[in-house]
Amino acid sequence: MPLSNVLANSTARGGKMDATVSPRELERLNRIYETILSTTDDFAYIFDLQGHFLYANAPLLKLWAKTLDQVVGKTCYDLGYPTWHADMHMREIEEVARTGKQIRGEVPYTGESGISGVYDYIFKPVFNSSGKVEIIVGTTRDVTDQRRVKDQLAEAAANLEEMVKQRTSKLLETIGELEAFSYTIAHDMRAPLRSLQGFSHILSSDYAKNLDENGKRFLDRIATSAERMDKLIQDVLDYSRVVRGELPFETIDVGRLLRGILETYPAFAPEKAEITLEGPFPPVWGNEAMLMQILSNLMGNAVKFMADGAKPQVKIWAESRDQNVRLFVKDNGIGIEADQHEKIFAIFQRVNKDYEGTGIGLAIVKKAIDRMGGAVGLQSEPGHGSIFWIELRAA
Amino acid sequence: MNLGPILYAEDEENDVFFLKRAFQQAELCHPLVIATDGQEAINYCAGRGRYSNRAEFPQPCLVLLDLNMPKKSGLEVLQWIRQEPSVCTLPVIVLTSSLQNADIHRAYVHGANAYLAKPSRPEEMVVMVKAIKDFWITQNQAAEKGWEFSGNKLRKDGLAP
Repeated sequence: MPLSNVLANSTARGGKMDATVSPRELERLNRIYETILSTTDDFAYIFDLQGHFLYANAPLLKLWAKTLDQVVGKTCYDLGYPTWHADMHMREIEEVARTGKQIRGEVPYTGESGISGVYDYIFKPVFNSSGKVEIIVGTTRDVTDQRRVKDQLAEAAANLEEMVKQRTSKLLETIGELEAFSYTIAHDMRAPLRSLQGFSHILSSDYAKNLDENGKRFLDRIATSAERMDKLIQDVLDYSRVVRGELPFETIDVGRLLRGILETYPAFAPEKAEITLEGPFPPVWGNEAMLMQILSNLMGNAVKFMADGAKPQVKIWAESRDQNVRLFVKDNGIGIEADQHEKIFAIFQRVNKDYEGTGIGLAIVKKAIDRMGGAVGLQSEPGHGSIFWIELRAA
Repeated sequence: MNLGPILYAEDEENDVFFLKRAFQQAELCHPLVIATDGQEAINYCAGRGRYSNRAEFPQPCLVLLDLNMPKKSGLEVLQWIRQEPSVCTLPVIVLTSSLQNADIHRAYVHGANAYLAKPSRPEEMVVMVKAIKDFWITQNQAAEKGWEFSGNKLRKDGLAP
């Protein structure tokens, strides 16, 4: 039955057929609607309130491998749907007719044509002028691909989650092992080292008279080597602490922190170095222990890398820059070649072997600054001292 | 001034040697008693086993405690001391090479009075021992023995509450 006839018939059944619609007009409307409904890939169809098909568009007929005439007046049972499937649609049609509310569902189906898929369908009531459900129209969309993609996505997400879980637990295990490892370094490996240092010092202080000059020199070398090893272990531990430590952020009073550092370290005492704090120092937002480590490392370098006999002169000041505060540490030391400016922040990099060091200090500075979301840099040339700066968020 | 011995719980022989030497150089003449593991330290404090004769092995006035020891760790010794009424007021100084924040935190939580890092140079050791002598032996007031604090009540041996 052509679509417009369905419309005309159902209108006629309602007893309100418009006498002005001519058969030719009906035929014209029919062509228009049929063209619209057969252009889409979706299925469009009409049921009467008892579940008989009154119309099916071309894509649906293709799925069934039937002509329109073969299906009009038939139910899903007649069209060979599995009983459960037909039962379900009959129930739904009854419900739409009774409640006047649309129903939406998803169902797998294989048509006689062999075409199959997962279908998303909507049954919707059409009301007559007195507000009664007159017929039920349906549209159905093939969502097989969508569904597959969705399933694949869900599976991928589940896999990913499982993978993340596994990796995380492995990572935690590794961190645990590393912690045990650094504990071993801290405790067990430093114990024999401490003995080495201790006994060589005792030898050189209590038994110096029994040793000739060479003997004393060799003993000195043992002591120096043990000390360097001890410093190296301490620095590596400091570095690992900066890398993995927890860092709660807080407002830091930089001026107070700097004065504290000056009082704590003997190398910064006035008789050893002339260190000027040129305040004011705006407060910054960061982790105090880490900032203390950063500043003491920078200040330590500032007083360490001096030409022979020169007294260190260090100036420290701050500048506000937008949301940030930049702290400067300026020294009168030996300076650094331009091509070394990047390198010096890498771990174990030592530009000048004439000075005692482990090559970890600036790596700690860089790592700690990175972890606080700040920046570090320098201006320096050989013979003209260095200015190191760090930038952190203002508090 | 408290005249009981100082108990040093330490399994590392060399560290014992360095501390003894520093005691001499710092002229700290308190007797130094050594416990070579955590269980020995507990036994000594409790006056148990071969330490049961209190005349020969008097209660210490101060404990220096290594953390990483056989049998019982320093932390276990510390926990035992703090829950044992007869010695719970004893000053305990943790003396270790671990500068791990977790260790430091745990030690204080369990009632350590101080946390010192073992110095690497003998002369630093002497400075440390002098500081211990000055603060913990000379200046610090030790709690009198024989008091007991339980059920929110403080009472002294032999006296009615």
